[in-house]
This record gives sequence, C-alpha cells and structure tokens, in this order.
Amino acid sequence: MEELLTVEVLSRLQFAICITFHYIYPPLSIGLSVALIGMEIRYIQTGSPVWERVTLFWLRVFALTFALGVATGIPLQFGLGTNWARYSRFVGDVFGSALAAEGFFAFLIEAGFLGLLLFGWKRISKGMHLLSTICVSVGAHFSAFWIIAANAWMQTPDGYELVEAADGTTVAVVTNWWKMVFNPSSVQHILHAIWSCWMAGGLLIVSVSAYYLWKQKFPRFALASIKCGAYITLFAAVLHLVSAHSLAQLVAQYQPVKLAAFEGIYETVESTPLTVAGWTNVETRETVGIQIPGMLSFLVHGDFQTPIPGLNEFPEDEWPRVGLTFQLYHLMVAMWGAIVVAAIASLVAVFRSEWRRPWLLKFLVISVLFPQIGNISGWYSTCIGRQPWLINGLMKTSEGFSPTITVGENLISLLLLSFMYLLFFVLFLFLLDRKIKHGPGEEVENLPYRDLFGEES
Amino acid sequence: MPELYPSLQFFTFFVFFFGLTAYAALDGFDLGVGNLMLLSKGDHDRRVLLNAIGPVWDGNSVWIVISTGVLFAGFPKAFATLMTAFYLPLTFLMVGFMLRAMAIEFRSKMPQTWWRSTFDVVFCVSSLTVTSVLGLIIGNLIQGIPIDLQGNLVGPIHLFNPYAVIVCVLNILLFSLHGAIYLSLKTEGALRTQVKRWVAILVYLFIIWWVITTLFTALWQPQMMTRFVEHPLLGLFAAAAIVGIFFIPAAERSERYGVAFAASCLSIALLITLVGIGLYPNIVPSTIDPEFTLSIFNSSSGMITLSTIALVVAGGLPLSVFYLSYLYRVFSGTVHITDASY
Repeated sequence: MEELLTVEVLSRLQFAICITFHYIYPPLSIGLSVALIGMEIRYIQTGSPVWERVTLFWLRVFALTFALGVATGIPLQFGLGTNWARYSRFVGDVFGSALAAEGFFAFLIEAGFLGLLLFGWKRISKGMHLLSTICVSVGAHFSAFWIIAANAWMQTPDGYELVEAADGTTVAVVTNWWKMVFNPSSVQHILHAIWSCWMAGGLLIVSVSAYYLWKQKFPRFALASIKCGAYITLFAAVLHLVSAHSLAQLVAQYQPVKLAAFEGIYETVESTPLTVAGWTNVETRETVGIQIPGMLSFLVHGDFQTPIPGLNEFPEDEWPRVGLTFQLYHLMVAMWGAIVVAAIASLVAVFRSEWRRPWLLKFLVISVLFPQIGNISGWYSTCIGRQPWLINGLMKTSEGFSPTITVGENLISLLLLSFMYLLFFVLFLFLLDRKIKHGPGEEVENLPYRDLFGEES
Repeated sequence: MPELYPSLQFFTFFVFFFGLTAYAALDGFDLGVGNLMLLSKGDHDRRVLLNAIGPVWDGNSVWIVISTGVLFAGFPKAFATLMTAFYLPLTFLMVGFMLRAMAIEFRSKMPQTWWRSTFDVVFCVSSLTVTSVLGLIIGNLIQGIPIDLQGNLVGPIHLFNPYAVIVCVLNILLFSLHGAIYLSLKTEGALRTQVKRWVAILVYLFIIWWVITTLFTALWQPQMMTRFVEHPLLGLFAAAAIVGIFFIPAAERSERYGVAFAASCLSIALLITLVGIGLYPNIVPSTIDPEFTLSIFNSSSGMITLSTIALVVAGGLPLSVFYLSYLYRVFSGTVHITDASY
C-alpha cells in the first residue's frame, strides 16, 4: 500500500478522476450544439411550434451540459500546473500557445454567445439566435480542436527542438508552429473525438425521445427529436469508421508498442490476426479469443501477410499495462458496434410504427450509455497505452509530476476535487432527470397536425 | 528578428495583466454580487441579484482561464512555479469556482426554501473564498516566495501573513464595491435604494483600507515603490485611480449608474496596473536570492510561441471586445424575472 501513496500515483489518479468526470459534459454539449443548429433551421423553415418546443427543450439540456463542462474544466487547466509542474515547464512553450489560442478564440466565442443563446430567445431575432447557436457550436468544436491537438502532440510530437534552459533543465521549444499543431496524428485524433461527441449528443436525444415514446408522452415532440438524434449518430458513426482506421494506421507507424498492446500481440508473426474479443495473459504472453487471421496485417498494411511487430520486440519497461489497454480498446470498439445498432434501431422505430415495441424503446433508452462508455474507454486506452511515456519518446510520466508538493497536500486536493466532481455528477443526473420528467410541455401535442409542421399530411 | 524578442516578452506580460484586469473588472462584479448575496433578504430580491449576473458570469470567468493560459504559454516556468507554490490555496480556489457555478445553476431549480437558502449560503461563501484566495496569492506574490534556481519551492509560505491579509481584505472590499455598483445599475425601486446604501458604505471602507494598504506597502514592501520613485510620471496612474474612486459616490447620487460602473472598472484596471508596474519585470520574486527571481526575461517561451500569442491577441481581442459589447447591450437595463431566469 505504501508505494501507492506517492505524489506520482495521486497526481495521476487526480487527473484521471477530473478528466473522466469532465469528459461527460463537453461531448454532450458538442453533439447537442450540432443537433440544435439543425432543429433551429427546421424551426425557421417551418415556423412550426413543434420545432420551437424541440429547440427550446434541447437548448435547456444543452445549457446544463455546457455550464457543467465549463465548471469542471477550469480545474484541469490549473491541474496541469499544480500537479504536473515539470511537465508544464518542459512543454509550456509548445502546449501553451494552443491553450492560449483556445482561450481567446474558442472560450470567448462560446461563453460570449452562450448568454445570447440561453437568455436571448425572445430578445433577439430568430436569425441572430441561430447565428449565436452556430457560434457557440463552432466555438465548442474549436476548443475541442486545440485541446486535442495538444494531446495529439503528446502522442506524436513534432515541430519542436529540445533546448537546455539557463537553469539547467531541458525544455521543448517550438520550431515550426504549424507542424506542432498539425502534428502527424492531430487531424485524425480530432476527427475521431468529434465524431464521438456527435454520437454522444445524438444518442442522448434518441434516449430521451425513446423514453417519451415508451411512456407514450409527447409523441410529436419525441418523433421530431429522435429523427435528429438518429441521423446525427448514424452520420458520425459512419465517418468514425474512417477516422478510426486512419488513426490505427498512425498508431502502427508512430506508437507500435501501443498497437501491439491494443491487440495483445507478443510474437511478431506473418498474417497478424485481429482479435474481436478475448483475453490476453501478460504472464504467459498469450492472447486467446475470436480472431480473424491476417486481418490486422491487412488493416495496417493493406495485405494479409506483412507482420505487425509484437511486444516482444520492445523492452518490457516500455510496455503499458497490456491487459488493461487490450480490454479498454476492445470495449471501445464494441461500443461503436452498439451505437450503430442503436442508430439504425431508432430509425426503424421512427419509420415503422409497428416496430415501436417496448423492448426496442427500452434498448434505445439505455443506448445513451454506449458513447459515454466508448469515450471513456477510448481515451483510457489511448493514454494508458502511451505509458510509461507522458510525451511519447520524450518524457516519462514518472518525470513529469510536481516535485515539491507533499503527499498530504495532494491527498487533500484529490479528495476535495473528487468530491466536487462526484457532487456535480449527482446534481447533473438529478437535474437532467427533472428536465426529462418535466418534459417539453403539452401545448403542441393537441394541435392539429397541419398547424404543427406548416404542411399537409 | 531577435531584437523584437524583449518587446514580445513585454507584450506577453502586458497581455497577462490585461487578462487579469479584464477578469477583475468583469468577474470582479459577479464575485462581488456573491459576496453581498446574504445581505439581501427575500427570495425575489436574491433572484434579481442572481439574474443581474445571469447571462454574463460564465463568460466573465473565462478571463481567468485566458490569463492563466497566457501565463502558461508565455512564461511556463512562472506558471508551473506559481501553481505548485500555492497548491492548497489554488485547490480551494478550484473548489470555490465549482461551488459557485453549482450554486448559480441549481439555486432556483427547486422551490423549497431550505434548498434555496442553502445555495445562497454556498454562493456567498464560495464567492468570498475565490475573492480571498486571489487576494492572498497577490499579497504573497508582492512579497516574493522562497524559490530556488529551478523555480522549486524550498521553504514554507505563510499564506496568512499580515501583509497578505491586508491585501486580501482590500480585494474583498474592492470586488464587493464593484458588485454593489453593478447592482445599482441593474436593479430598481426599494432594492436599488438598499444597494445604493451598500455602495455608499463600501466606497468609504474601501478608500480607508486602500490608504492603509498603500502605507503598509510603502513600509514593508518598498521594492513595489522604486519604479514610481524612478519614474514619477507613473504616479499619474495612481492619481487617476484616486479620481475614479472619489467620482463614484457623486455619480451614484446623481443616478448616473453607468458612469459609476465605468469609473469603478477604470479604478480596478488602474489598481492592477499599479501592481503590474510595481512588480515589473518580475513575475515571481524569489526571497532566497534575487538571482532566482522569475522575471519576464528568464522565464519566457521562445520567439515563435511569443509571436503566436501576439498574433492570437491581435486577432482575438478586437473580436472579443466586439461581441462582448454586443452581449452587454442586449442585456442592458434592469432585471425582470421571467421563465428563462435562474
């Protein structure tokens, strides 16, 4: 137990807890912001009170996720300095300009227009409100861009040189800003994360709408909403396949140890198999499960023979926790499958009312969890798979934490912040539940259909 | 263009202080409203207070993210040193930020009295926590902290030392005054009369405490004064701040609340400028050896990063000023509680 109580372990735990509980909210608000643009355009096109209800209801849910995203995000920026001082000193020159750009361009756009979005429905014109929605959405995507570009730099650093500073420490200094921002993996990392966010928002909409359909409440609202959610989810899930493939090829190129851990490959063999699901044993260096022979070779190299280097090719002290990385990675892939099924199922439920069975709707209600589990396991697998490196090939995690803080201080901060994040999560669930129970209002449900959508049916 | 490097270092320092100023002038008033929350009685009045800051508080708090972001990018060593040196105070600052957001978001979500009064207390206490921690950190920073060549803390920081406490109280009075002036702009009727009384009291408390703080700064922290002695013209900033503060009661009496608020913003900006001038070119003074002091020259990032920051600011600042002024125009006028309110 004693060696668990070190500043390194506590700092890692603190960052993991903060980021895990933070990352519930931004994907939801990014995904919802895209849906809101679509809903608002439909409202302006049709002038229908149903679309007004749909927009206003999801705007309120968006407001909740957004506010929590901001509130849970501030400690993360400070956390880089408080618990990872050596890392901050080493990387500030590289990483900081991305964060500053995020602050100036993304946060200010988001936070500035958010007030208009939430409080301006009746104060500003419809067009101006739509513009605010678009600005908030662009801002949210933009902020995802910068922070994920920074994370991608930690996976595939580029555009920098190592310089010895006057105080004797080594720091990374930018030599080519564009190469730093658009390092080899940043575009694919960003797209991969953005599509995941869209799926998270889309399936939240699907889930709540399915709940109303199941309870036979607000059917018109629910049918209009669920379609939005399903289209966004399906669209993102298809694009996700492309980004996942490109990203895996980059991992193969730049982080071969991580790829080997993802797939549980120890021996380098021709026709390297792809494990769909299974178990990997680090002691015996064996992976068992459902395997497709040669598939991994094919996905990485385009032919079924070329071997993928196994973990045995690399020194063991550069391995991540193989078993954990393997399972998290496979959990993420499985969640993608579940998301596709849910998106198709919701479209079936929309267009074939005889298929609107309780079991199907119940499945759709729980589908909100799939992208959340997928997001968390995906980030865990990519960041645990990077270990022991904090910045791939440049700085180990054991070299990055703050040297001067004490275990006691770190424990206090860990406990306080964990408590706060947990409290936020509980309040989030409580308020979301209340918003759902309260619903979008009955007004539009009793109007004749023609008045609702401004079109004959 | 290496000859531009010192100018870029200065510019980044300026941007950092500009961010702090924007934070104090903007989030300062909503923190102040929080500090004053429990002084108002009754659910309706408290909701008015909350909704006076409703559409803007979230955007205001972004300025602390921006200024720490600029510090991280421009002066990573100073950032890392400050963040670890004030580890526990910053933890409480984070908890304060989070509790505030929670109180604002959740207070009016349930009708029960116990629910709302609980969050009112949370709102007030968390606002006071944020205000105090900021004051204590500035108070300690002015005195310097025991850091070595690598910027690592090598001795204890006595957070609650007398000078830091004096600065902390000044900060509480400043933000509360600023919040009260903002409220006089956003309220009407009996509530406005009440708020104006707060302004009248706070402005004199603030002036008295400001004199005390200045005296103790001259006495205990003479290094903060050297630059003003070298360049007496810089004293004009102090003079302007005094004029601004003394202008507030007159503007409030003649019901020119917008002018009073502008004067208050200006005074805050000038006060922070005075701190900036006093510290310059240092960011984190070392009490161990002046050699170890982190200044803008020995803790900054490289040429490319500093130029990037300059470009970002040149592009982003006019843009943000433009839409922030639009935002404040849309929500100008006094507060009326509606369905969309907190």
